[in-house]
Amino acid sequence: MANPITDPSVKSITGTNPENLEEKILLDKAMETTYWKEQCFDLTTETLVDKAMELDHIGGAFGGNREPTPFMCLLMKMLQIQPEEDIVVEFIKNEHYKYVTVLGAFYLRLTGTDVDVYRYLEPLCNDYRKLRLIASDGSFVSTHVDEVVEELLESGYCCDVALPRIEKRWTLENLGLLEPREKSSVLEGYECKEERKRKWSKMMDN
Amino acid sequence: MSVTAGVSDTALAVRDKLRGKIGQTKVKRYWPGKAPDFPEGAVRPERVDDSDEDGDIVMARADALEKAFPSRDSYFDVGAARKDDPRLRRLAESRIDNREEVRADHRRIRQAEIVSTEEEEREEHMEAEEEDEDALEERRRRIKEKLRQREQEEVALLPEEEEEEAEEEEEEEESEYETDSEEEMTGMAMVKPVYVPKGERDTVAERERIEAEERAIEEKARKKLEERKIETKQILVEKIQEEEMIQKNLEMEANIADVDTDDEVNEAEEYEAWKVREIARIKKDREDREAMVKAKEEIEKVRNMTEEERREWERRNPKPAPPPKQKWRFMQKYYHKGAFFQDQGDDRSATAGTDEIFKRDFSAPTGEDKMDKTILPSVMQVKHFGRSGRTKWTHLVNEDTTDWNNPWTFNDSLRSKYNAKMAGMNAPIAKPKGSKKLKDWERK
Repeated sequence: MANPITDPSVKSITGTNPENLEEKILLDKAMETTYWKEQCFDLTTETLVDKAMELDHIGGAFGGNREPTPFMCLLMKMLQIQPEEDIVVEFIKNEHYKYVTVLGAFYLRLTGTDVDVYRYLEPLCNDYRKLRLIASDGSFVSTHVDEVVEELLESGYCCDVALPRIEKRWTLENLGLLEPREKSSVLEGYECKEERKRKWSKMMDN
Repeated sequence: MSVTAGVSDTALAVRDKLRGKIGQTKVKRYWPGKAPDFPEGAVRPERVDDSDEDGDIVMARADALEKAFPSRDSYFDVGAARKDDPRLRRLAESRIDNREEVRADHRRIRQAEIVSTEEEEREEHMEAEEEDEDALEERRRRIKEKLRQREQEEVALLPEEEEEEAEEEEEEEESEYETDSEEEMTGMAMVKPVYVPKGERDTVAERERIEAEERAIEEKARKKLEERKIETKQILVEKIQEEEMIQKNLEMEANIADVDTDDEVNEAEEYEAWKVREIARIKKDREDREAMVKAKEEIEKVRNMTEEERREWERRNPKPAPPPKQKWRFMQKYYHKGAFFQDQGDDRSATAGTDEIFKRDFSAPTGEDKMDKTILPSVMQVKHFGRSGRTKWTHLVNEDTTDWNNPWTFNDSLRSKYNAKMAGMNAPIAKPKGSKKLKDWERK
């Protein structure tokens, strides 16, 4: 790997050094932050978990200097050490620390396959815990886990990181790799409503 | 070539030292004039001749050096060369009688000193007269007279100063010469007193120089102060920026508390909010799917239609007519729109799309095109008028340069007769009608 810090036994993702998944400038800036230099230097997966538990906000680069957040630094550290999928799933599935969840979800979105991404991130859409997001001007904004996950799945850009392309759910369903979305209660309620609407409009036409 | 050619001398020296071959060199302090401690076996200088002393000391020293540091180059004898050095030889053989005096002369500090003031000069002048021999006395008398004359004239006429100065210079030179010889003869410091005008006095010049230096020093000090000021200002600016950053960070800390991420609060509200979001998402998803399905179905339908149905369908859903083509002006420049980012992305999450600018009419005249180029003289009806190497090719007839005044091209009756006889000029060439046989073939 080009960067000597990255573990040489690390696999390449999407054909490139996993570090390249983040923008070079952001990467360099994150390595310059005191957070990185003081605390992220020799993290292993276990110690990374401890650090992740201490997080209290998410975000990309903020301020006039485009300073990266600790969230970003930890994400990059994860990209460097490349924990296994089970660990990442554990991150996502944990119940107590929402920022750990989001970190895991983000990492999976960057490095996981399409099927995995949909499989693990969709349940998070039902999680409506509140999060603190730091905007580009440095102020704090309140957001929710499901909003972040929606952004991860739908748009190609989140927290100043360009997300790799994944197939549409529709395509995967047609290919048979994914099952259609399981009906949540909300979905059922919605469908009921729709049915009623349709019947009403039909009645009106007639 | 020795084997040690590629290795540096220092490396070799170090190696040898470590191995104990070369002893540690103790360099004794040198006192000038003191006989150095010669190592055993060195040739002691013989104190026979005074003049040889110096040369031999030099030689002895060279020997000592030789012993201490045996020269490495073995293929030519450096030791001998040292002794044969012509310079050393010359030094040894030089016979300066009063070396001490020469050395004292070297060591004498040469600086400007007040040679004489007017009064002193006059006094000395008197003294000198008494002591000299006749020949010199006469000279002196002459000079004295000249001096007196000059003094008188000085008061009267100023512009004659130049001549005086010239004279004085000569006299000064003479006097200096005289003073030198005087020194030799008498051994006392007798300086010929000659008047030095203010402009040529060394002392005055020196004083001015000193003053100039002082001023320069003051200037430097002032500049340093200014630079210091600038530096302190910069430091101040940096400090202020740092403080602002700290302030900001503090505010950030405060902001964190502002945004409440406590999930326990207002659980019901949160749930409602989430529900709204979820429904929106589902709706969006549904719509996307339906659109995709619809598009596919339509394509299938159209493909499977027969000719007439297709025509009917096209009539009903006409393709969006291309914008009507505008007529371009005379010599209007062609601008290509660019091939990318023309269509909106299909995907909802597409990041690249069309820009408003592409909806403009690209055949509209711009800038230079707005001017009517037909009114220009034909020379100027060219792209980039004024540049070299551009010709506007119009058409063949326009570019025809035949000289119609020639007898063989002149269009008169003779020519027309000739033209009539030429092939192909009479009747228009008829197009082939096509044979009957071929026509039948088609119909069949």
